[in-house]
Amino acid sequence: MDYKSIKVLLERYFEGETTLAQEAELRAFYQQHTLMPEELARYAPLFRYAAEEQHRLPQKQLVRKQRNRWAIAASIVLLIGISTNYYYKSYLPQQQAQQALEEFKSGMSYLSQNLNKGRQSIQYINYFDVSKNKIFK
Amino acid sequence: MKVTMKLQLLLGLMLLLSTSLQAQKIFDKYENNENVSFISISPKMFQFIAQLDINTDDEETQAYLEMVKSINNFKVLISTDKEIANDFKADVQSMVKKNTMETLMRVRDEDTNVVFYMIPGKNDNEIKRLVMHVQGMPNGKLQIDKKRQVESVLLLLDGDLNLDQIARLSDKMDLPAGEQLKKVKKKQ
Repeated sequence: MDYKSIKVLLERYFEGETTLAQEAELRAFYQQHTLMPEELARYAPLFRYAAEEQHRLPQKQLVRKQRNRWAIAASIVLLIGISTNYYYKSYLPQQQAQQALEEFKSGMSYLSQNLNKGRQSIQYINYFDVSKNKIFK
Repeated sequence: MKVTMKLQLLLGLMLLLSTSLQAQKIFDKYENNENVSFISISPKMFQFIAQLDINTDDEETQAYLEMVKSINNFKVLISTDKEIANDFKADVQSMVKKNTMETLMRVRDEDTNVVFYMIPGKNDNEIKRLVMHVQGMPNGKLQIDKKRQVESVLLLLDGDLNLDQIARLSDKMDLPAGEQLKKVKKKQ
């Protein structure tokens, strides 16, 4: 590729008439060549920058994708964490409480029955007191 | 003067602590014994029970839930072993002595020998601690429910207890007057 054709391409580029392939040609030229006439070297930074940016762009997207993956993983871990926490803080105690309540009920009912047994005898004693009073009065 | 007062306070605190610890002792002793059924509901669990979202029309469950509010400790030991049952007896007696508990009542019939001990609360109607000790009679049957026959039951209850409230938990028809009522209803 000679300098003349590059010069033509440059002119067209600034006129806005180059195709995508021609622009790529320009960028390739500036990346591959460091020594060139002054009038071409003027535009070197422009095309080198564009070339570098084009390389960088896909990498940026990749980083973004990776970040997304991390975010998803983190949120899954968080979700599991929250639900286990809920399970241990709320659901499990609730089940245990239900079971404890059943134990409590059967224990208390047994206690209550025995207490009432005693009360029956107290009533008998009262009855005895009444009859005693009847006899001894 | 000040030193003696402090000493008195310290002694009082120690006495208080020791009484509450003594009662736990007997339950701690059998907690890990394989031949003894052990039930313990901690104050924290009572809080959970009170928070349970049970919407029930069942009057019985309502009564128990109401009771939960005034109770903060519930422990039960059940033994099917005769020797352990005898150990219970000795342990209960030493607990009653050390805690200076009062005997509330004794009920003995052909099947069981039941003794209630208590520590009185602030009012006449209230009891701070209630302990029930049930022993099977030599020729009798101690049944805690329809299936299980055991040798001895020990139950401890802490809180602001009302005997009437506890008595009302079991079927009112169990009382002699209740029996009579039942008969009358059947005749009609």
